Amino acid sequence: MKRKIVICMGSSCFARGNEENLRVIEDFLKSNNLQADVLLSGRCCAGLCAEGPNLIIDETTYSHVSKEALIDILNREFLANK
Amino acid sequence: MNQGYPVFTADAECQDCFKCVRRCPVKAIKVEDGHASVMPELCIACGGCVEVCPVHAKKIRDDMTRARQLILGPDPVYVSLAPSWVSEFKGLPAKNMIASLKKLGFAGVGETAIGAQAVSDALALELKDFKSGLKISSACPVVDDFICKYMPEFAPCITKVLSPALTHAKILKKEFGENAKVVFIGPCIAKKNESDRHGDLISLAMLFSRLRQWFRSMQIDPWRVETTDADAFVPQTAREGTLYPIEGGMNDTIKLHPGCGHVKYVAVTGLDSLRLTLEGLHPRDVREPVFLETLACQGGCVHGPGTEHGAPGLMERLRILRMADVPETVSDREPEVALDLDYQETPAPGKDVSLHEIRQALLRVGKKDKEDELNCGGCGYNTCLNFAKALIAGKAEPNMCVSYMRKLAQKKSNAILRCIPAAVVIVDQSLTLIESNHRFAELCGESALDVWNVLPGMAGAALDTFISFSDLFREVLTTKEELSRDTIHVNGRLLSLYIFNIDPGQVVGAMMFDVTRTEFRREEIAAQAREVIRKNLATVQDIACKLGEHMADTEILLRSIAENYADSPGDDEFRKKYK
Repeated sequence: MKRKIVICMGSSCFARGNEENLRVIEDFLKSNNLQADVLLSGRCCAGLCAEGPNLIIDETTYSHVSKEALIDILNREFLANK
Repeated sequence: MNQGYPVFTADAECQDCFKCVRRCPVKAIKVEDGHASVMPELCIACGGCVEVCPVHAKKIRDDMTRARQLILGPDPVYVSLAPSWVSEFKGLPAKNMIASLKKLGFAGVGETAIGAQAVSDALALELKDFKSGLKISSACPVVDDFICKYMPEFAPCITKVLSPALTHAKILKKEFGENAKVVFIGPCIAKKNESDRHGDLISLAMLFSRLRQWFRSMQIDPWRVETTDADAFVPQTAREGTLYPIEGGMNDTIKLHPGCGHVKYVAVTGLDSLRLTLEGLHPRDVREPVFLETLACQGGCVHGPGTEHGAPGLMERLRILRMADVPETVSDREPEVALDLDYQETPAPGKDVSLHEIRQALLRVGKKDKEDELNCGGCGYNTCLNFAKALIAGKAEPNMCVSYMRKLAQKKSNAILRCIPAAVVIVDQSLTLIESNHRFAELCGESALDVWNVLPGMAGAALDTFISFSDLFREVLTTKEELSRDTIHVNGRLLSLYIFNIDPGQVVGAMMFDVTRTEFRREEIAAQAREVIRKNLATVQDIACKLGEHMADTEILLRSIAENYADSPGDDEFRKKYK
């Protein structure tokens, strides 16, 4: 079943780190050749700017996602079993 | 995917001053088109560059958000608290610190010193029958990297035991289950390297400075947090292990063990003193049993890069000693976890360069021969030779060489001053000459030329001894507005003057073109033009006058002819009738 990453591209999350986070996610998917298995999409602002930058993987919402935290999240979510 | 390297530069803020390069003990900073960047393969994460950067462009990776994510995760997260917390949070009771950390979401707080005690226990057993040679403590990750990369011949001497933090992580996992996560909080950046390399033991490492920020963001004031009896260190409170973060502390903990008295204990802190201690030594020359406790930070971890350096060194040390509960002796005990870890030599990459390459590199910064090699250290390297090697390795750029850049600037300005077809003079606030060119001396006459011959550029001379209009200079200095005059009469000469700002209000320069000749020529031309006009006018008047006279004369003649030939009145009718 294809997994989903939704990254908030609202201006607040974008400026607070999601711009770079997007690149990190793309690099991650590319280097672990997961591009086919994961649907990466953006979304407009959902009003959670205070907890930004926001990110949703499948059902779980992650907030205050710094670049470093994102790397842990991606490793845990996608490479945990390997 | 790996985390970024713990120390990095925010390019936008780097102001290209090379202070970090000067401070770096292993020159692990590359300068590329004016920006310094840390080279992970050479760096030992001592934090020197972070502390010294005047604009705080050297940043430390922020692992706090990772800790927050970890806490939100399913597994319990424990803190391995470095013993230097005592000197960092001055006078804060332990239970306040524990309660505050629990309020952040940590399941429990343990003392890294517990791991330190296990390390000392293991070392004591090892040192009992240690006859001769050199053993170097492996407690400090910066020292481990420094020796493995830059003094690899001493790598075998590093005691093959885990660091206190890694040992403590093992103890916590043994106590609270393998899925328990451990976060190290301490004064040390290199612990981030350690947690990156041993992610199975320590999930991440955070600095005290970052912990303060976290407390503030959660409105937790450790001094006023309410505590309960349950706020105690887990699994138990450490005793002599808390001495580790001060110079000689580790040695003291080992000496408490019986049977280690024969060992010579040496304590060295600071990489420079460590270099001094080891450089030129060969391990087999050490016949006595020597145990070298060494920490990269001067005075020990209490002075680490992640601390506030708020107190004088001795006070930091005293706080540790006051809080330490050191038993008389420590009976031998087998550490509860396996501690072995090997420290492989990993010599820093760097290809050897030929003399020719070095000479070429030195030429790029104008160093032709031995005398040019000033070894001034301005670039951050203590010798021009090392700088040349850095140039070859692509770690440095010619504009880092202060003497070269100054000479280059001087050469440029000298060439311009010499060739410009104008008199140039540069003066400071007090209208004293800083520099001038030969034409300026020529302009000012004989006395100036004599001065020039004695003192080229006439630096230091007063401007008004040479020219009369120095008040214009003062005007430019005060108004900071540049000024130009087309023609100024100066002892029989005509000058076109332009005074400009070099450093507004401080240093001004002036260019003076001697336009007397051109001016003279211009006047001459003007005069000749007027002359031509006058001449034209004169000839025209002449012609007109002659014409008039001629006209008058001929008119008289013609009139007389006409009258002689005038017909009687009838002739006209006759000619008309028969035309």
